Amino acid sequence: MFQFIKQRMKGAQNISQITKAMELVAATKMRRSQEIALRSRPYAYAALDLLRTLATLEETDKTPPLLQKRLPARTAVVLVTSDKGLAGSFNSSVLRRFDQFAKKEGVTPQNQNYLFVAVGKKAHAHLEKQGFAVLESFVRAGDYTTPDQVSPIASVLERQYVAGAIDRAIVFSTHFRTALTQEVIEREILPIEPAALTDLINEIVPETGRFSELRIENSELSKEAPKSFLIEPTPERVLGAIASHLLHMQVYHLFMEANASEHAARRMAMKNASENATELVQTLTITYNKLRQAAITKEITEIVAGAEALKN
Amino acid sequence: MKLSIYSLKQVLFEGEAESVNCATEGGEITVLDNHEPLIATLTPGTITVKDAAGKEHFIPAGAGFLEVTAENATKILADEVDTENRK
Repeated sequence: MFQFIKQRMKGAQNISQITKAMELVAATKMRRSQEIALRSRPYAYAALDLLRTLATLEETDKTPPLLQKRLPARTAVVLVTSDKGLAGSFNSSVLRRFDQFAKKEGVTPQNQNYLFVAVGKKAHAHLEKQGFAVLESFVRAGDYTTPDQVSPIASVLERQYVAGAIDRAIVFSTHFRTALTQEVIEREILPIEPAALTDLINEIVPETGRFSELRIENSELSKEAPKSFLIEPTPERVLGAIASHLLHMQVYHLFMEANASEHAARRMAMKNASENATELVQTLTITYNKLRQAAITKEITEIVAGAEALKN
Repeated sequence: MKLSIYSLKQVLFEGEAESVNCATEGGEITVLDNHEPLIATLTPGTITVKDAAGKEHFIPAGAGFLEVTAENATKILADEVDTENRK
């Protein structure tokens, strides 16, 4: 009995050490991903600004295909999850949200109007299990994805959209609200909507906690309307190029945000696990001590009883 | 003029500059003070910045955009080039 309890105590202690370590690692990684995501904000603002300048400036009759709206017939669905588990409900909530969407919209493996892009092993496995054909998957990317790593995904979407194979793209990903709360958001990233993009950029900043002070200085975007610009080579070309860049940027952001959320979720999950393990160790220690004391008392009574018996 | 060069990963340059030279789709150009407002697309190449102290900075860049505003501010959006993996 003693041995058994002792073993369980050891086990719980070891687990708590591991979860504690994972918690600390996740906390550091979360901060790092947040920092990286925030570092791209100047670029994002400048790009949006340029798009707005171009939009107000020239009445071009040729809108680049990425900005054109079409009646949504065929949809690309992008699921953003992580490669690894042990992150609480991070992956399951994204997948649950997708299942709800699939039920509502009647998405079945037989339905040819939906294409799927999986980001992270968990999404890939989920889609495969349900029999959906995955157009493209993006797994084993690791943390802190670089813009270069993300560009294949954005390029696939761009190509499909320009070719007319899809009419919109929906992303299910996790929005990093604060270090303690993340929520799954369903975003339409294609066709490109400048207003939605602006929101996305603003949302990178968490609502409270570290980095939340950056929320205030969002007014950079408002500038007076520009006069005449010399545009090289042609407004259409520049607009087309910037639309493509905006798409890449958007996908990059969604990945970074999901990455930060993953670490935040893992941190919380591991924190809970460590607490539970500590609690378990405590209960086990008490049981162990009680048992030991009971055994000692029993032995003493036996010795005393034996001595009494000898005396008589 | 006020010059800012941004990439998705970081701010590459921000501050006063005397001139900036970069490759655009229409050819290599140098932007000096009070340049006419201009929007251009960049082709991969090196951006050469001469800062207010006359010191030159060389920044490798991929595709991108150049915007010169009427307020004498120049903004460059450039794709980062991974110089280490391209030997």
